[in-house]
Amino acid sequence: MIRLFAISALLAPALIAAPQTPRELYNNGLNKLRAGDLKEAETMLRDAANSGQDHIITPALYNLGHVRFSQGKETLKGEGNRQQMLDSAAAATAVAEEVLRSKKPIAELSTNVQELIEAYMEGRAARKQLRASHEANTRTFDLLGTALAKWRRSVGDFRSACELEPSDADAAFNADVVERHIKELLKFKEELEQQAAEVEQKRAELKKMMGKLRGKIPDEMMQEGDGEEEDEDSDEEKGKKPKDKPGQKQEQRIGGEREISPEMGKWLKETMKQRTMNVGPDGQPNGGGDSNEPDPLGQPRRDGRFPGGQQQAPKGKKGKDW
Amino acid sequence: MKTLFLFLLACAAAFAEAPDDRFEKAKRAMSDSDYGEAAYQLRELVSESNFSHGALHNLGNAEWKVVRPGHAILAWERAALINPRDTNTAANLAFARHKAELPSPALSWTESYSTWLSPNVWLAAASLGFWGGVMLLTLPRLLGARRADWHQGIAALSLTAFLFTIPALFGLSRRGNLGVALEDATPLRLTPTREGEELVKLPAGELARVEKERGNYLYVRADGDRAGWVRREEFERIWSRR
Repeated sequence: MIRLFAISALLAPALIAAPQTPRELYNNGLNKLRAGDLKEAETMLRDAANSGQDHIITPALYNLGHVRFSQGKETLKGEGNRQQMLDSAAAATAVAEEVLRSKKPIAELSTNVQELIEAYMEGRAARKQLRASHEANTRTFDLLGTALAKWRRSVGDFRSACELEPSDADAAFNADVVERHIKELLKFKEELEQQAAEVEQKRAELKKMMGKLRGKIPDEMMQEGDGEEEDEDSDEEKGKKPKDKPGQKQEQRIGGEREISPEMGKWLKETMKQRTMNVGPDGQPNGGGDSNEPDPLGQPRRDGRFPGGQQQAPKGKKGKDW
Repeated sequence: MKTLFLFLLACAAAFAEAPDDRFEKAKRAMSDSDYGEAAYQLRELVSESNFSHGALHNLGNAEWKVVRPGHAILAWERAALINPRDTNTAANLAFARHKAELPSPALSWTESYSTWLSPNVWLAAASLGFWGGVMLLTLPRLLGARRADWHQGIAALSLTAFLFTIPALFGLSRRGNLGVALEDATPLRLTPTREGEELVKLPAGELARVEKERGNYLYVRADGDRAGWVRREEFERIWSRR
């Protein structure tokens, strides 16, 4: 009994450490794909494809194409509504443009402190919207970049499978479908880039205008938090976080939004116009349609055919366990 | 028509440069520090199957000067294959590997053993040992003569020599799969396809072992178990099969 135990104790690590054969890697990768564990599936199918065994390379590549397409889709889930994003960027730009149009002459010519402060506050609000839009754009660009890289690799996998097995029409078809998705994504990215460029331009113009306004408003009317936004922008441009003096951070945060004198606040309350954004009926942004959702007809399926409906498990040779 | 053909043949023969002329040109270019021209002449010389240790060693030097380390290491490796005893070639290889921070090739004992002598010597020794032994054992009997003691003694020695060449021949055949990445950042791909995913990149001059071939691709494995498919034009076997 003791001998048996000793033998099993000696053999167990060897059995555990035994490397998987390409066939096992492929089958396990496929199971992971079915279970939705895309990362593991990618690793295993990649290793299977790298085994150099001709009969495994093609199906492994085919399924690797699916894994990477799915990974790209997963990445885009964190993207938010595309149309809403474009609309909010457009709205922020429009607001900034309006502020610039109406308040720039004041910044240039006026000496009326109340007017200057009003212009400053409006400028600040507009810049805040622009910054929010800028941050959303940056996040989206990151996601789009990741998804695009995955999808391009997916196309490469499908095309490679097709090159190795020219009769594999499914792989060629899937490659075309993923390319269509990439085109759509690039189109959106282009639109977003245009919007982002406009946002950046308006931010720069507003920054300039507010600089002028700050120069004209007497120091005693300005309070510590007024320069905060300017500082944040500058730091952002330099690519680093603003440095907070010890003990000042909390104070600035609390007063950061409206750090103006009480009499000026009262006056502003009376005189400032209410601004609302036109976002369409029911509080929903105009343009509607969740463009994030890929067209179900365009989703590559593991069996290679593309009728509508839900994805199916890999079929035929590609999905078969050896 | 026939005259024209003969004329063209004569012209071609006149324009074709003799290997000695090329070598002289290359030597002159080297002494004038025109390494590009020297490399060109030596490359042409070698590509005409005029493999010689000197030409290959000088080709390596010229390629190194024109900053083509992959090609330089390939030429030196070939030179070392022909003459493993040349310390200059060995020193150049060691220097190039040190400079490019390349790992030294990991050879098995049979491969290391095969580097003691050139392939020609090993083959000659194996042939002589085997056939000499066989002849000494069989010829006296075929010729009706008595087999003398010295016959048997030399036959035993010959066959022993043959036995000693067997591991070297095995090592040589294995070394035939060694090759060099020619360009810097030579990609190792996941699959033998145009759009194959790039797994890792090999620096110029790194040695790798060819494990299999498919179409225009070779499956190679480099130091550290880095393996993948490489295009034929990006990788050259030391023991050329052309």
